[in-house]
Amino acid sequence: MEMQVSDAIGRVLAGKKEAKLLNAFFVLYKNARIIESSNRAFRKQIAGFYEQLKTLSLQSGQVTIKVYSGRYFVDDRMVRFDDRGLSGAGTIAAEWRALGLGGVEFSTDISAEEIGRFIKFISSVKPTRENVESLSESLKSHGLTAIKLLSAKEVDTGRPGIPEEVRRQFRTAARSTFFKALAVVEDVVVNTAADRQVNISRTKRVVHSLIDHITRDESSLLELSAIKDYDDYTYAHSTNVCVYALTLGVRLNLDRARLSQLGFTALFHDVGKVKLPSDLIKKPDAYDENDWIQMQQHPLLGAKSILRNMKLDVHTARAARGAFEHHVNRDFTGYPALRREKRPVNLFSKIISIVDTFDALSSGRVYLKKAIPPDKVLKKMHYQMAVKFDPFLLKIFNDIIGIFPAGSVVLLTTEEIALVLTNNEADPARPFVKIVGNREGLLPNPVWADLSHSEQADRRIVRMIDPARHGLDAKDFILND
Amino acid sequence: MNLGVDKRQALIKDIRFILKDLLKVIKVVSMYPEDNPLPQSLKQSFAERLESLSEEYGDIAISVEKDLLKYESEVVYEDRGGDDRLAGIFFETGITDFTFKDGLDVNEVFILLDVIKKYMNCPDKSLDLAALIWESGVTNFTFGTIEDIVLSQYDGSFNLQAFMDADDSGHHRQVIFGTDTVENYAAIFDQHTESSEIDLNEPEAPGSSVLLSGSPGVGGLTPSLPVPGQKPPSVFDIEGMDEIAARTSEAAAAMGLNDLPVSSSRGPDTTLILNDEFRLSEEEEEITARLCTEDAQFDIYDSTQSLLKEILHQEADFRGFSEAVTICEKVLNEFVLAGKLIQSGQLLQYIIELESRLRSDKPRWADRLRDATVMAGSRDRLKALAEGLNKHPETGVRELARYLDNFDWQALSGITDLLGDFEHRTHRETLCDFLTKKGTDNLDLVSQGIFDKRWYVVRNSISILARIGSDRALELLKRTLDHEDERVRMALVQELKECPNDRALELLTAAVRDRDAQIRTEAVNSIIARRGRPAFEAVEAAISEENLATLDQPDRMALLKAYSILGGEAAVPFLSQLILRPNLFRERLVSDLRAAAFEALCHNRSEKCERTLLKLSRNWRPDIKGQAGSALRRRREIIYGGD
Repeated sequence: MEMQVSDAIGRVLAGKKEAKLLNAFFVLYKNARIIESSNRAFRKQIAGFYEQLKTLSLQSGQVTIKVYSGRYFVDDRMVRFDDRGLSGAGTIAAEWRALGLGGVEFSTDISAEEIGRFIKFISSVKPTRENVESLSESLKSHGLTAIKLLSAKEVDTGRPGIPEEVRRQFRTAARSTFFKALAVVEDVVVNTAADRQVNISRTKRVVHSLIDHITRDESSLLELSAIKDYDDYTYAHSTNVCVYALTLGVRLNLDRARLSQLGFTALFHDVGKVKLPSDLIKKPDAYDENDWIQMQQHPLLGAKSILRNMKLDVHTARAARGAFEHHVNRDFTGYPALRREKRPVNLFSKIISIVDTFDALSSGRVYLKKAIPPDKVLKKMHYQMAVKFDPFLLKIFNDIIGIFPAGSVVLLTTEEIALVLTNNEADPARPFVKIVGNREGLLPNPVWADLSHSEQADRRIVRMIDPARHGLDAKDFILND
Repeated sequence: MNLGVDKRQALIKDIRFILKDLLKVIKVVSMYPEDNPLPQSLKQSFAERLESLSEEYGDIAISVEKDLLKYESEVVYEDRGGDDRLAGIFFETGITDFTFKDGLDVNEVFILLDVIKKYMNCPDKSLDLAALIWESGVTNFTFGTIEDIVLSQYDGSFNLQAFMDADDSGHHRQVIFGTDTVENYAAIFDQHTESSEIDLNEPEAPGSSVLLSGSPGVGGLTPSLPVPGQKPPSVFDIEGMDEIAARTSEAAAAMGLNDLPVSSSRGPDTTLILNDEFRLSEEEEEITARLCTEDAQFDIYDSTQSLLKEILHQEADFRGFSEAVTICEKVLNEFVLAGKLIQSGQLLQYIIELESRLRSDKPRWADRLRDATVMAGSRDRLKALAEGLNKHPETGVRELARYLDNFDWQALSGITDLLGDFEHRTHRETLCDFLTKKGTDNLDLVSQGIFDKRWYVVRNSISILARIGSDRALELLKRTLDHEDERVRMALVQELKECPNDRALELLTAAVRDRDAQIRTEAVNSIIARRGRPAFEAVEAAISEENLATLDQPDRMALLKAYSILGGEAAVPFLSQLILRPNLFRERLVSDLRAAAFEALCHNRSEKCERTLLKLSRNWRPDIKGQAGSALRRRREIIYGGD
């Protein structure tokens, strides 16, 4: 019997066969729109998909493909984000969402010809005109009886809940990894300030732990990034940037080696600041012109520090470049002003530019000296600072942060205060939350709720709360289970 | 894992076996090339055994100590030293435990073995095995590292609840939660408005492209709160699609403008998130995928080289500039060690160009760059070049030649000294070419080596001077004719073979009288190899009867042979003379000379020689007749397919 492998929050994980099937499905879906059914290559792809379907159905009978909470499931096994080849996943999920479609069930007696007809059909529907019921009728009339469409509601109701205890354990583990990352950053900063060797192996391994967490459940680390009042902002900022950057990198399906390089680059992106006067970094007031001139030296100082103190390899080469150009804009404005060659900024620097700005503005510890709510930060980044950032990467980052970023404190229609734990991509307005208080005060035992579940129909988020305004500390809600 | 005693014993035995097997496979795989069938079959059988072991027993967790591997406190492997150090491989990289998880399949085992092979074969052991295993993505082999222990003191189980419950919880609550009162909480719900204006007017940084926000409309944060007692309307209408479509057009109109209309919704402004304009389309997904694919072409040497060039231009003061140049020197060394001579040559070339550009306006800066160029040709840096080339024999000679073109005479003595450190002949040849080219005008530098105590340094200098071949060079080489080390003298006669100057024959002729027989023979061979009239004349001068009389028979034979080969027809009369000299008193010398002359004629390809030998084979003197006959036969063997 095949052993089931679960992730730390109890979701059964798909294996390579399921991932391969799903990818084949996406490829067919995309190609069906542009290729004729009679095309030989297309028919070959259908045949390939059919074979894979048959193999799986031998094990489990009918085969289902479902999507909920922004994740894909084959026979109720979750296909992880870091599985290769999930191209087009986002687009298809969005289209299905618009249709109210939650999944597809293929019965054991389906033929390759039926698959071909179905793919052609489903890829051509217009969400504004159709819904699940009308589609199911159309399938019947076309004689496609071996395929059943599942509505989003049906899928939503049927899915298992995630054990609260498992979630708690996973979040505890995420905290441990996050604080380890803080410790590593502190180590890096102290050694760099003294021009000593930095322990690169340790740094890489912490990055690997962060990546492992993010690929399983990004939100548990993202909520820790929402804590903005660590004693030493510098360490937390670098760690936050690392977490955000890795989350973006995972969404981009970067391979493990490059994720490792990205995380490493993110941790070191502001290392040049240790060479600046500490009064400048900790200055409570807004910067004046001289302060800015000094601050703008940190990319150059950072790149030099990395190249001087570390052995050259792909990680340090990437980190040096990221440190140097993470404030260089798309149109080569920003700083430092390039003197020699207008070389386009590389992918990692673009990623770090976005997440660095986001964390800095939403922390309010630098530049502005007051925090801006995340949704306002994103708006500012889209409308007023668009010249700085890669627009496509910014959109992906938008999706990650969502309306209510993990770690936000919100007010519910049921007059409760809740902490957002997990973004729900299928419905960003209905995340997974931890209810921490009501009119009477804090709850002795927080209650966990998945607002996207039909049982929570009465609970909706009214707005975000700025905890500091009410003498609340979000950190306490995040860290206290 | 709860097993019966017998089953546990069987498991321990299996684990011991599999670990021994693992070590054997690692050794074989590390030694043989990838396509060799032996490691392939070993890998396959090992992988299958490991897969079935983990299928049978589930997860197998092994703890790592300095030279031990343990399964549940039972020692299952012990290092024996030398190559037998499986525990050491994991221990030295900081791995404290590893687990073969249930579900480990043959493919993953192959990947794991390849990773370990890569680690083992890294010449300077600079790779991190833990990082390599992680990057390989083998999910069913997990491990813990020393950092997990070291950093555990920073464990973030920050349990506020326990802290609060400990004692005086009221006070703690006060401290932690501030004004934590019912009234305060109620105020959150009862406030009608918040001062919702967020001032996005951030101070303009010099040179910053951040635009100022002028509109009070931007950033209307929160709507009015519901009146207490009244159920607030839902923020998200079920017909949200239409509303969003309407807001899409508002957002679209607002894009690119500083003013945004005040949000009238009762929730956060969700335009940015729910608006499809802010989601990736399929084309944009493809563009993003292309970004990632292009990024995969990142080359660390090209990137670092261009970054360093930019950094040099960024510096505003001499101190920073000097530091940047120091960094360039350090990185140059690393490039060279990695065998990346193209990139290091480009960087060095850039430094040289920059120096000439700065020479008039910033002479001090130019001097600093000059120092860097000179340092690149210093002994230490050249040692790195030797190390890099030896580790990377695939480095082309053209790359090396172009790299060397950046150096001037200052590097000559260093390279000459280190010539013997270069293991690969093609690299040595290229270096010799360089030294020959540059050394012609700097003989004193190149020739310093001939006074060195180390024989190989002397040899290196000889090699270069012989290639240069000027009269002065040969004069310098003469000093090594009497060198005490025969290896040096042997190198001299070998190198003079190719010397372009015919005066080399003088030295070779002198070397024919060397005290070492092998050197004498080699000297003669070198003369023969030079061919031509000058070589013949040199030998001719050396074979007067007085001279021949002083030599040993092997040397005589060698010299006469050289004379015969080089002279062809011209050599026949003298050799005949030696043969036909009367030997009434049976003098040994005459017999020896006769024998040597016959032997020499065996190697003479001229027609005259053939005729002479035929004639001699009909001589009335039986000894001459006999020897001539033998010489004829031997000659035919040598020339027509004997020797």
